[in-house]
Amino acid sequence: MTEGGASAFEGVERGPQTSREPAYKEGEESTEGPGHPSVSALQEKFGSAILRTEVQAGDQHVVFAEAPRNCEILEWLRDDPGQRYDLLADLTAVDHGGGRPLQVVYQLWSMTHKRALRVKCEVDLDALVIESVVRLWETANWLEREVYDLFGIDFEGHPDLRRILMPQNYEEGHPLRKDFPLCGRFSRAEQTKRALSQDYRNDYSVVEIALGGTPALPPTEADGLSADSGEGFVTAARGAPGEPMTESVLEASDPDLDSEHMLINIGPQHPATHGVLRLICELDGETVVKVTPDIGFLHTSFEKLGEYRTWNQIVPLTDRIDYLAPLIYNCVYVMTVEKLMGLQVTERCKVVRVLCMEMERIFSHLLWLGTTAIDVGAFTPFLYAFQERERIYKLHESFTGARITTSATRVGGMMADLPDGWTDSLRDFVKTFPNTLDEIDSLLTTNGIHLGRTLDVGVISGEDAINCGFTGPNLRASGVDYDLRRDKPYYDSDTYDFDVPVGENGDCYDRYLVRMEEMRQSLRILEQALERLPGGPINVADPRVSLPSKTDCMNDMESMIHHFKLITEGISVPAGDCYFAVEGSKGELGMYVVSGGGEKPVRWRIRPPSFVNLSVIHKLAEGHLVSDLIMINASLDIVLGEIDR
Amino acid sequence: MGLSDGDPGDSVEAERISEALALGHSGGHKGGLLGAGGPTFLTTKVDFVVNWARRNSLWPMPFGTACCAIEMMASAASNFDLARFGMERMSFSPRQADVLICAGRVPYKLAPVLRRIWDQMMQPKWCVSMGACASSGGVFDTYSMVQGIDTIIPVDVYVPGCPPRPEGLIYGLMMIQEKIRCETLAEHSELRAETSEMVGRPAANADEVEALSGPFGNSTQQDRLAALAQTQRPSRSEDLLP
Repeated sequence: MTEGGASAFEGVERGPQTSREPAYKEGEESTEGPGHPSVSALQEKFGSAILRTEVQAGDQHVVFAEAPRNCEILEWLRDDPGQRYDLLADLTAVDHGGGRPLQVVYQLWSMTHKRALRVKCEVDLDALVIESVVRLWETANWLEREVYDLFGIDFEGHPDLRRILMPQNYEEGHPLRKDFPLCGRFSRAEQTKRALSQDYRNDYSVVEIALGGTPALPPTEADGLSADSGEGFVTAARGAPGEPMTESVLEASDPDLDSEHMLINIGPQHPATHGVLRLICELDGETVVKVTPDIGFLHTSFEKLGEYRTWNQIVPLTDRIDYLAPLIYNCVYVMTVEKLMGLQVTERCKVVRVLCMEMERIFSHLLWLGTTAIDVGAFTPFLYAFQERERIYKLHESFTGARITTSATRVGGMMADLPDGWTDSLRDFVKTFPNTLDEIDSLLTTNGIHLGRTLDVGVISGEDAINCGFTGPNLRASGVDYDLRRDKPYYDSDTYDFDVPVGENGDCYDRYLVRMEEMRQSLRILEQALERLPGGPINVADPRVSLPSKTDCMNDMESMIHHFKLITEGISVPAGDCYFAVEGSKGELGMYVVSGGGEKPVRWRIRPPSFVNLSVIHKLAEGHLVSDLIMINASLDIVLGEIDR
Repeated sequence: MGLSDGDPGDSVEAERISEALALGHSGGHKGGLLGAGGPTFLTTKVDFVVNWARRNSLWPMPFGTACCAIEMMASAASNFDLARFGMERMSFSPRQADVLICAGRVPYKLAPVLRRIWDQMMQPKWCVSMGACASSGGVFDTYSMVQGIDTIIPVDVYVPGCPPRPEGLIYGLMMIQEKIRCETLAEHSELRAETSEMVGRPAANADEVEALSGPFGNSTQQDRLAALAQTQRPSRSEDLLP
């Protein structure tokens, strides 16, 4: 909107953000009000290393730390008894463009004190280096690789810093930087040609190349190998420190040993990988010595595309990220934006969203249940589960018009109110679904084959699970009682009467039990939410986001202009950033949005629960049989659309 | 599609025979019953048997990547039951598969995998491109996405939708069956579009890729003229199948 146009807007209340703010507004200094105990402690302890602090989105405290001292500060935050930020929820970077420094963002969560803190470090464009925090949190391993891949920030001391989502020999640059064009630097023809070229680095990972010695395929650009110094290829070939792969390689090639390790490749097109995931396994007989996941085969560049979309146009993208639980994604995205805008949705909308999210939990767990059962050789649960899923598909369809890609939410409400009779159908589902669940339960829970395949397979301790960033059912199966619905409540989720199932052993069987019980608990929440569902409007009456009625548009000029502005420009969100997470079906599902005050986000980041969960599969699978690897992979409940984004 | 009816000048006798055998049209033959290379009584009979067998036991190779794969699973599950069409045997090994169902988005990183799986499949083989992303890149006109798998492999049937409903996929597969019904052994080699030289290579040439990606760009570069100027290729590419 132009400044000149603002005068025509006199009669329309647009909230505080009508005028153009500077591209990026810094939050208010957190001097007064309910201060954050960690912020003052940090300032006291580190003094000038804490550059500034701000409060974003109402209650989110952000600390800007000196980049060279990031590790020291984060280590203190993790270990000090007063702080205990033991969960690194997310690690990402933000590029504000215009030559400004890149921000590395750490989202911390303290299980002990139930507090969140955001730490940011700024690195200049001409020296994109920062110390790695992998030694503090294992979660950071893949997250830092992702930042390196998409932003080009070098993490000093990272054990295995190479591209993760893009191909190893990707030469167009770092896609999430602002100077990177949406469609890439090369023409489509060139991109296609490169993708299908006979370059063996397209087809084989660095691990395989390191193991296999000379590549079998003719190296078309063999001379280029020495050129990309700093890339993982060379590092792995000469054996990076802390790379256990090289040790096993040496062992395998020792002629004195009477057995050799074998390399097998599972995926990316394999029925048991639950998507286009590739697992490179080094086997000793049938035992997995090392497993290296290779991901990125479904990298759709959602986050980049989001920067070219207005706030409401992003909603249809969200349900294509996790197509197993689309409504949760729809909801969490708009909840994040609403939090940043300081927008309170109506009571009815809150309950409808709770209904949607709990329904999706069942929807997603059912698919997990069916496909996991197939992986251990049981086909019937798949058919039973899909029978029930079809009922949820019908509920989706009558509400949103689509079976999977629901796109049901809008900032400030839902696309429409629930249709007549929808709650009755849902009530009917809630009433009869336990029968099917009991049936599947009786087929699997005490089934000898299922027990044999899952008991004591893929064990991870609670402490390790937290350090690895596990969340959701996977974390709870390891005995850690952490559920965002109760610990970081949203939409009065803590007022519903439900139990949080917690496992003991952290093996595949416990993960199975936890998910089965979660479905029953979701049914309880659904029942209560259906009871609670209040009347009233579903959409908020806030002129910043909601359209005036058709009658008003036809009758008065201001409403018509308002309508026109909202439709043509989209809503505008105040400058700032906001991280918001809900308990998704797969774990802590967070969204982090950065707004420059305009109609499009500066950065839209998805905190991917199954990306983080998958990153520790090597820990779970090593030492088990290769058939157990399939079960372990299945028990993590991954969805590749969200891992690769 | 290559499904042209017989020329009007065809032998009346041939039509009579094919009608008598309830064959329908036996697919684009030229030169009549006794013409050079044309179908004979024997080949039409063999066509009928071979096509009947082929079309009723299509083994799909489910190349499922994203949302569409979930709908493909729904098609195979109890409510829609793909088994009714002789397709319940999902062949996860490409060597035994007849029809590749590419369900979902295909990024460039996955393109060589898709191409290799297609190359590994035995002739005769068909391909269904399921959903908007596989057919055209969908809304994802971005740096990492292939703008339609027909630039990588030849496609027989496109199923629109985001994602298509199971009914849509089943309809697409029935179109493959219809295509098979109209094939004839006399033109066997012509129907098999790919030669061994094409193994591992894109199905479209560079100009075609540019032309496909430019004018059909989605809302991020919706300006058709700008896209045309960018690609300098105003005409739409021809059918990718030679």
